[in-house]
Amino acid sequence: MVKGFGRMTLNFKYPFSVVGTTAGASIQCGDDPVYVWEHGLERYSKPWELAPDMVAELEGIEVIGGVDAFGRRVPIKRIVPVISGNDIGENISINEHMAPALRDGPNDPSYPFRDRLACINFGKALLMGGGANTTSIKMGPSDTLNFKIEFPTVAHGGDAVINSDLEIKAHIAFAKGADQMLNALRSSPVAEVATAAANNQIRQYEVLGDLEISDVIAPQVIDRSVPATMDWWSSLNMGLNADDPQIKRIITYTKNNQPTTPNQEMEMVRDGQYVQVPFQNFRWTATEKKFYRFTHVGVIPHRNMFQVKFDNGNSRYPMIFNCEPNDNPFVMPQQSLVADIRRGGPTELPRAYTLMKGIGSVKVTDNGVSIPAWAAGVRGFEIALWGYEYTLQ
Amino acid sequence: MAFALFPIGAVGLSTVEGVSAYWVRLPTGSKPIRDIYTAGVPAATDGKGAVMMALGVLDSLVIDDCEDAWDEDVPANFTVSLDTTDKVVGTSSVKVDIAAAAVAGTILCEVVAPGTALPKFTHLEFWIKCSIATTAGDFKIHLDDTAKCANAIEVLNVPALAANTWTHVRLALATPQLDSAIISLGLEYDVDIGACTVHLDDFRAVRLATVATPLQVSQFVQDDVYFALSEAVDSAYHQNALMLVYYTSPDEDPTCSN
Repeated sequence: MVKGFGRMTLNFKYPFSVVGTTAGASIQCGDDPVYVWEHGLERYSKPWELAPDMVAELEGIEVIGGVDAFGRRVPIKRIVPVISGNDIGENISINEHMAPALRDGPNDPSYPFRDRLACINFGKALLMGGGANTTSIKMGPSDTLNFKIEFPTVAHGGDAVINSDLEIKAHIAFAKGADQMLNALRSSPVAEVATAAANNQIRQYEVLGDLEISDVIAPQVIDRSVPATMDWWSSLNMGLNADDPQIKRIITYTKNNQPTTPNQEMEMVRDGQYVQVPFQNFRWTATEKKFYRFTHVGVIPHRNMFQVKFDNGNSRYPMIFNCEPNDNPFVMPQQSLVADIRRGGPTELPRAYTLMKGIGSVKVTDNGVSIPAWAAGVRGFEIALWGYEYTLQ
Repeated sequence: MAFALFPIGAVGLSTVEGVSAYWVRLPTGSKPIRDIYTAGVPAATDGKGAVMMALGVLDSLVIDDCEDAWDEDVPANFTVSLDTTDKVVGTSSVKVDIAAAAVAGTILCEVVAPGTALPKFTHLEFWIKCSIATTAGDFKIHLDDTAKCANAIEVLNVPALAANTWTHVRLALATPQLDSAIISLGLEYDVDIGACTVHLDDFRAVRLATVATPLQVSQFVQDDVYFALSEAVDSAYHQNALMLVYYTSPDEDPTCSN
């Protein structure tokens, strides 16, 4: 069998200028013959499929386009990986602002999810020296990879007609052949990974604690090892058969579906329809088994926006940030207008927003003038979060 | 400081971000607007806000102020009077009642100041209102250096008019170099459109030149490319218009965090 090891990019192309779509639509590669993935001279209108003796990790994606005739990025409701036909986007909802092209403009090493030329916004691959806690998306032998693009309705600020091209550049690390996989893991600079691999194990390891509430809940350990064979690959974090304890990547955003009441906090929850759709619910209940940690934030504020609070039921001192157009600490990786400056977001929080055994939510306050809800031709605010969900055994 | 220079046509009311205003959109590729001067009308040389450069009236000469009824030649089926209530400029306008029996091609004339010289002017402007809608050329304006517009030098088509609406008309003079001694001004009923009433006011020759007109910006969408003017721009009276806009974009705002 041919062996192989390395990184590759697959370009999933959606030439909507050729075959367009409409507001509210959901599109995948293969839905039309013009929607294809490309790698070198390979070009197919179907999902990408791993060889039977191959494992791979989706480390990250870049979203390139679409841009309308006026230089505005076409609104996207959700881009999500589809592994072997399964939408794995429980916590993944990437829109047009959240996954910029790494080479769109000057080389920007400050972009936080970057490893050399690879985009690693899901996580740096285990095969490439990623940590034992990585949340790269694992694909086992014969799994397939596709991407689903959902567009918002006009009522939620979407474009009625989508006719400009969109491309998703998928960054993949792969090993073809069991010994290649094992050699890569044994060569990892991460001690937990390399040591386990030396014993023919794949180990996932993370310690999660929060000093502020260490008297309430001690640091918790996620430690799971599986045999270092290809059959077990998809049971790792973010694999189709991932098992507890596990870590899931969160990349998502929220938009207000109600106008704010001046000078009052708006909690970004689905109850009461304060957000547009359920996945935008920014209220979490951390139990003794399930924790959350958010590390990066991006905000496109409305001009009437004043403050963002990361509320934490266990803390009397929640993180609060002024967040106005003139003073926005949380830059979104991409702005709505192509001509706007490239700002290198998202911003890493000064201290991770950690929820353990408690309830937390994101709350927004205006500057005394109401922020309107998103509607056709009207924009509110947008908050994106990058983080992790931890589930214990 | 960012700026944008772009051609602009008519600016009417439109809705952006749910607000109805006289919105203007910067051209594709422009930096977004972080801030722009909205405190008032800037001076044209202030370098802030919006300035429109367009053909405008540099100077003008009144040919007939329509403060007395036209009477050089009042043809049959025409009744001319002064209307002191329905007028635009001054204390009255000239009201012309045209009966159904009026014949196409008939000309109503008025004496203008002897030897009015127009060579330095480029256009004729006036106000007109008709009780019924007309199409371009139904009425014509004559200028002549012979009495009663007997052999008109200038014959200018009045554009289409909406019924019962005062319209400010600007017509390019065809041969201003020959208009050196105008003595007669005429309104020709060139097409038989039936009975109607026409009001006329304030005929003047004007010279157009490119002028810079500062405009007030009333509001803008922050970090976007829309700003609104405090009033409409009528492309018919701001010909070949260019708009120059000065503003601050996000990447040069000293308070910007990144």
